[in-house]
Amino acid sequence: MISTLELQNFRGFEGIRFEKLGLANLIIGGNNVGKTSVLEALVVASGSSEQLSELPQTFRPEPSMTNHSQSLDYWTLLAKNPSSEIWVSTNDTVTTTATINNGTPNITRTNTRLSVRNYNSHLSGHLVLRQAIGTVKDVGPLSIIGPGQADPVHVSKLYAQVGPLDPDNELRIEELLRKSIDPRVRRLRYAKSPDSSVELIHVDLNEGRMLPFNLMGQAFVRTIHTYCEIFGTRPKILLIDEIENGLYYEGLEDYWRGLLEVLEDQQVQLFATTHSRECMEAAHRAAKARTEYPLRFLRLDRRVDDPAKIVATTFAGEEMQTAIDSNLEMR
Amino acid sequence: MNPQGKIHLVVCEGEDDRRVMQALADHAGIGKQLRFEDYANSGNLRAYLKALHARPEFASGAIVSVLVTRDADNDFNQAWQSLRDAVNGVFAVDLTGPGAWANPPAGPRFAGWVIPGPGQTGMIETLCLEAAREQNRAVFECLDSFMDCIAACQGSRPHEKARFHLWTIVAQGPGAQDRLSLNRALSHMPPDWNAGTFAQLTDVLRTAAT
Repeated sequence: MISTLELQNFRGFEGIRFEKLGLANLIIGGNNVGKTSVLEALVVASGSSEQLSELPQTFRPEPSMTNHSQSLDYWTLLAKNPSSEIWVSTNDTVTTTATINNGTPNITRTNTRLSVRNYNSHLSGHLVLRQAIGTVKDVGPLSIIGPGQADPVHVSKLYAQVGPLDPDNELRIEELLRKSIDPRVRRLRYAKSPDSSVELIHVDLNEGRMLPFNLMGQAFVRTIHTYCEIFGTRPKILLIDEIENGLYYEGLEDYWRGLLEVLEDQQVQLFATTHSRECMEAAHRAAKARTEYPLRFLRLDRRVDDPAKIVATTFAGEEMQTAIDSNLEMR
Repeated sequence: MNPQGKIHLVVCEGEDDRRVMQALADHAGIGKQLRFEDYANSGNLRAYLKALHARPEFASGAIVSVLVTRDADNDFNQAWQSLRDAVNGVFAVDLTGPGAWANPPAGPRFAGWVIPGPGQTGMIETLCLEAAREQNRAVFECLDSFMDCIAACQGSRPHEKARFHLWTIVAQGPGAQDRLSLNRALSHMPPDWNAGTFAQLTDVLRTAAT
């Protein structure tokens, strides 16, 4: 598990450090302060070569641009100071450095035993593993859920992996959906509709016909996507951008109850961004019900005396409870 | 918050303290330069300060000064030590004495103040009563005698809030709705803010506002 995360010269950050991280970490802060950049830093520090290659489109999709030109711009802007090295450290043991030359990155992960993994790009723009010396113990693998609507085929394929890994988890997903999204859910099936060419998750709502899950609304899709990532790919780290997207505020606490329970028993560490005070408070209430409070709030703030400088604050349940009791704003 | 976006924060023990200090600061012409918040009761001070330490206004540097206040109740020294320990425990800032500002290398400056004032016992009501005494000597002679009598009969002095409640009889009407708490008394029988008893608290608020 990642307990400390330090970034230097990464996107808008001159240098920030988060300490005492938890099993679930909710990244908060004002607009354009770098919440998503923290998720990107975690991909740089722990992502696979495929995730590194896709990073320019993962959290900041811009359909009007070609992937290649967007990718060049993305990597060029990755360093706050382009002439200096980017530096990301997890647990003070694995250090990832990156240099960007002519819009192409060269990323190197090194641990304290000087084991090395180096990724750089080949002609097609994809980042590939070029050099591996010794074993750099990754904190990953990681799974990523971006801010937009997920591809239903991708989510369905993940679901198809859940049962073979552990059939009980199929039942568990159904139960979690009943509790947090829709009590009518009877069962899920991975199947092809007569009028469709692709296999999708179908939902039995006891209404005589099973419906493709992507017709059930954003909250349903996002929730099922989250559990399919956890049970289907078994990551060590799960990144979710704008976790509250599509979730109705009255259902947030049930959503968090289910999610925290699963994170705990599957030992998956969550990093998620949110804008929503209701989401923070619901997560806190759900976290209080756990035996050990698993939640940390990681906030980014711009200094009023130097708005280019961003500072990091980590806090937990005691501070959040006082803020709720006293109606104080913690975002 | 002052016009430059800097926050001079005054932290009060409860709602009554906050309202009295806000009114006193308004009277002194410094009310708009200060932000008043309360932590409900003295048992919550440390938790409030921990939350303050994690708030956006603190991390962003918007809060430039923090004056932490509490009531002395029956023991000034104990109240001061408890306030000092709370500030030191959360912010690692050592307050040398009431009203003395500490300027740590980073973050806002801090001071502490125990009401009614250095070395005294009592609370915010004590200041309000003392401010009213000068112009109401006859009433206070009766009130003090009555309180002495109750103390003798019961073996202990009634709470200062009870003394204040008795004083508000002077201005309240016949119905239950007319009974005055300190908060409501502020509008019905405002204290004499220029009374000498408020001078020290006004001075420490002035230092917090600059």
